[in-house]
Amino acid sequence: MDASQPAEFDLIRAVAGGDQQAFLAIYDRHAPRVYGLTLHILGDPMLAEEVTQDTFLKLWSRARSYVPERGSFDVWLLTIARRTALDRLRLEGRRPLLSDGQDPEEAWRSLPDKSRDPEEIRWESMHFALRALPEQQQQVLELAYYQGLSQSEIADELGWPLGTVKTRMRAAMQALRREWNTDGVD
Amino acid sequence: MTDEHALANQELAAYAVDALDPAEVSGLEAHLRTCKICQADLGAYRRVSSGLLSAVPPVYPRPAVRQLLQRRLTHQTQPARSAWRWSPWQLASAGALALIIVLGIVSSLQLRSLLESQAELRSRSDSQQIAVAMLAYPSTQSIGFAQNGISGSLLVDKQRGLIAVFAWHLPVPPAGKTYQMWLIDPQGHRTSGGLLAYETGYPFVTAVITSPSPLSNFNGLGVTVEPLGGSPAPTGPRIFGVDF
Repeated sequence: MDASQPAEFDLIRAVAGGDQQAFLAIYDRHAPRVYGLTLHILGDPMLAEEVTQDTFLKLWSRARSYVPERGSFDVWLLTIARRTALDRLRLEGRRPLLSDGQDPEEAWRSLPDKSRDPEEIRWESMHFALRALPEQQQQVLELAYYQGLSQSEIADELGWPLGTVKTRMRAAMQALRREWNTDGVD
Repeated sequence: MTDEHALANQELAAYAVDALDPAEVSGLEAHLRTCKICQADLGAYRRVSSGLLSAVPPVYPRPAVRQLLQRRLTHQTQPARSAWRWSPWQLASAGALALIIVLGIVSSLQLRSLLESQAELRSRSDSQQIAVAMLAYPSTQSIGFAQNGISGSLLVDKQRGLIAVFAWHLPVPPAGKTYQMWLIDPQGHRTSGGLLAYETGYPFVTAVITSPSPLSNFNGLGVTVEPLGGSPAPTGPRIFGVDF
C-alpha cells in the first residue's frame, strides 16, 4: 500500500462514523476483488454489479461490527460478498457457467501496486495452486465454494459416488493447505 | 485416535468450505468442541478457505457501479451510534412535537395520495393514447412475446425513441414491490425505462417508454421486480425480457 494513503482501519472507522469519502476510498481499493468474486460466482455481469453494490452497502451499515482481531478486513468483506452472491444464486434458482471468460493472468497483471503488496502475491499463489490441482478436484471445490453446493449435491450434479466426491474434496483441500500454509502461517 | 475422531477429522475439509451435508454438521461440531487436534486442523483449513476468496482474479467494475452506489448510499441509513438519555421535559416536548408532525404528515399524505391518484390516471390515459397512436406510425415495429405465463407485445418506434409495452397476465407484484422496465444495450448495461404500474382489475398493463438516448443504442427490454418507487439499477428477479 502507498504510504501516503490512509491506513485501512482508519478508513473503516471513518465509514462507521458515516464518512462517505472514506467509504468511496474503500470501494476504490476493494471493488475489483469484490466484483471479481461475485462475477465468478454469478457468471452474469449485471447480477455481479448488483451484488457488488449490495456488499458495499452492507459494509456501510455494518462497518462498526468489523473487529480487526478476528481477521483481516479483506477476508471479512469478501466473505460478505461471497454469502451475498450465493444467496442471490439461490434466489435466482440458477447456476452459472463455471468459467467467467476472463483471462486470469491478464487480470492479475492489471492490479495496481502488486509489486509492493506481498498480500497480493500470496493471493496470486493461491490462484495458481488452485489451478494446479487435478481437474476433478478443482471441479469439486468450484461447486462447493463458489456455487454453494453440499457434497451430496455435488455428487448429484456430477453423477459421481458421494464417497468419490468426499475423497476429492479432502485431497484438494489438503493440497491447498500444504501450499497455502507453508510460509509460516500454519 | 478413536473412530469418532478419525471420522470427524476427515470431514473438516468439507466443513471449512461449507460443503458438509446438514445431517453431518451437528455431530462434527459436537466433536470439535472437545478435540484440540481437530480445532487446530480446522483453523488451517479455514485459512485455505479464506485464501479461496482471493483466488479469483480481480475484475474492475464499470465506473457506473460506483456512481449507482453513491446514489444508493444517500438513501441508506447507518444504525444509531448510541442511545440518548432524555429528561422528562425533553420527552414531553418531543412528544408534542411528534404529534404535530404526525398530524401534518397525515394531512399532507392524504392530499398527496389524491394528487398521485389523479396523476396516475392522467399518466395511464396518456400512455394508452400514445400506444394507440403508435399503431398508426408507419415506422412502428411490433414484437410479440410470451414468457413465464405473461404475454403481450412491444411497439417500437426507433425514429421517435418510443416503446409501448402491453403485457397481459402480469402477476400481482409482492407487497412493497413494483415492476420496473429497463432498456438494455448490447454490452448488457441497463437504463431505467420507468415503472410498469400494476393495477388490480385490469387484465393488462400498458406503459410507454421515452428513450433517454437514441433507441438504436439499445437492443432489448427487461422487466424486474423492484422496491416501490423503483431502483437506480435492477436488484430483483427478471419477470420477462424482449429483444428488439
